[in-house]
Amino acid sequence: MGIRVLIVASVASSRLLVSSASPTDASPKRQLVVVAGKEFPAQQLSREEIRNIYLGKKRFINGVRIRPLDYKRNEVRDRFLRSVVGMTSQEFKFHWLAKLFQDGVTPPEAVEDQHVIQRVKEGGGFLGYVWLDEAPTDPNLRLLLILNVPEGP
Amino acid sequence: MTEGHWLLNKPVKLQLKAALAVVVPLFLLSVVSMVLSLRNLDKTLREQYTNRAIASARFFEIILGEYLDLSQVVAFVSNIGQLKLALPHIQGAHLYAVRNGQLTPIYSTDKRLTNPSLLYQNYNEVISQGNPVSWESRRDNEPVLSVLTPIRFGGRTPQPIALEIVLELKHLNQEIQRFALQQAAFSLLGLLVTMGFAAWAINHWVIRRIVRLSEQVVAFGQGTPTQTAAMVDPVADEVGELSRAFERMRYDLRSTHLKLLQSEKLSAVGQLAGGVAHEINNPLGVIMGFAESALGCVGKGDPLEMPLQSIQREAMRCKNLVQDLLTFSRVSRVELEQIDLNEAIESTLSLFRGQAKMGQFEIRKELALHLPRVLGNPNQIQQIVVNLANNAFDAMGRQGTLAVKTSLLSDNDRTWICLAVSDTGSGIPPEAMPRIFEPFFTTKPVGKGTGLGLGLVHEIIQKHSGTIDVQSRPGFTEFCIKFPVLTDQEREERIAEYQMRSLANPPKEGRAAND
Repeated sequence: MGIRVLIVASVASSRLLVSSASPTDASPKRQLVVVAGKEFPAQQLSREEIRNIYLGKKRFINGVRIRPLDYKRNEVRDRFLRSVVGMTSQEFKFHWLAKLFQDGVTPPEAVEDQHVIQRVKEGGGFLGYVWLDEAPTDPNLRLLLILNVPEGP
Repeated sequence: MTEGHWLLNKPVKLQLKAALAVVVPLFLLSVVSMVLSLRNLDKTLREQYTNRAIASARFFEIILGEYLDLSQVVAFVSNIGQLKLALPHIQGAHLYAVRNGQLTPIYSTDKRLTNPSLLYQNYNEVISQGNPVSWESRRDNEPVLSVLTPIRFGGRTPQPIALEIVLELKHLNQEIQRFALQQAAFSLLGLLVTMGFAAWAINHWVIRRIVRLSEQVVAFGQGTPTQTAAMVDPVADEVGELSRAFERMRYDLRSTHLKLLQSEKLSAVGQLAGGVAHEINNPLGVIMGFAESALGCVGKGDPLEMPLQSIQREAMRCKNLVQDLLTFSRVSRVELEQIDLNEAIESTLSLFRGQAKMGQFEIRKELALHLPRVLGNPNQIQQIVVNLANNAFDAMGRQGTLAVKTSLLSDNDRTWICLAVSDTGSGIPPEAMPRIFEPFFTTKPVGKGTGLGLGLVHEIIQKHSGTIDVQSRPGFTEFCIKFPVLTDQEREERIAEYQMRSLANPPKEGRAAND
């Protein structure tokens, strides 16, 4: 556990150095990775499938209940919602308010930033998203899709 | 009086009627006011409750839509069943979603849901029109108010949801009940105070005085002379005015009554005296005739001369007396004409000059110039002055002043010519004052007066529609006679009336003379 944290920290600092070295680059691509446990019922997922899962439209894969994980509020969440789901954080909330009240479907569970990896490894249909450069190398993790997302506000 | 007012016709005391008149409207007014304010309060409180529920629903909408994260929303609605609602008087809340075209409960603070038919009835109003709806029902045998409010999240969700907030009405009803009791107590207190004051005020200011006046009127009507000037209501209002008017009326009535009595007495005595005089007239004529014949037959120095002269003199006195009686008692044919009062006085007073010179008398005249003329008989007017002057000289004895004044005065829309005859004599004793106009009443020594003088004066003045007043004290006596100044029309009417009376009632003087 201690080694992994260290790696994530060093990668983060190197990224920081790179981005500060080239300030003229308006929207450098940063990569997100959608991760799941090794028991997850799919090897890979398309961008559309991930969108449908996060909007509650796709809830089962091979009979297994898919449980997407979400963050309460952070930069990776905003970037993910904008580029993958195609909504702002508010639009996403109201989509889920309607879904919650109309269909009785619970929205993705929001967890603390550092708990995503741990939760997906528990299996049981959990999946989450992290920055690719922050994702630890772990045999128990499966990378479902790597996404290029534009950096910036 | 008014037949329609049953209460007015009942033999109910004035106090009770006044009390009813005050209490009944006041009572009705306070009842109506209480009912209206209760209804108003009820409506206002219910509106307040409904608005509070609507505001809570809006608050819920804002909290969910604007302030809570998605995760917090989920936590909130998931735990709504455990939510102990801290809001006062809110029994529970239910969240409904639209599923298959009807409201379906999704989250509830308790299991007791509203009657589905009511939800169905209100669906259109709440979901399609977007208006809150409220209704009252009973839950666990307690009255509750349900307020169903649509929640649309500012139109950012495709379908609205609806929040029903169930409020306990028990507290509200208790509040209304408490208010009603308070109101009733205050109203009752106010009513009692107002009634007490009104009863006191009406009784003190009006009723008591009317009752007292009524008692006085009744007593006066029964002939009990209870009222004195001191009992006149001095207050300057209508009741006081009524009391004073009654006192004036009472005074006038009493004086008129006394005058009437006096007049009747005079008339009766006059009739009697007239009858007697008429019978005496003829024998007197015989006595005088024979006395005169006998005097002619006896020579000077005859012992019968003096007795016969006495018989003749005394018979003449009797004749004069009889003449006075006849004048007093009968309507004689008198001619009315326009008289200058001053002239009549002057000519009469000239008769007394000799008398004045005999004693130490002064005759003082103060005659007003340009007096209107009096409609009357000159002989009778002179008779008034003669009688009054004779009395004055008799009262003064050997010396004194006789003053005769004329003047013009106005009162009560009428102008009067005033004749005042005063003397500085012994005055009329107070005990004699009420009787001075009675025939044959005299204070003079026997043989000096007949007691007919003032009676005649009174009779003549009455025939001239005048009045006579007397004031007297030792050393001063004044008779004040007033003759009305007549308008042309009144004068003509008076003359016509006189002529009519003369025709209908021909004087018996002629017959008396013939007898």
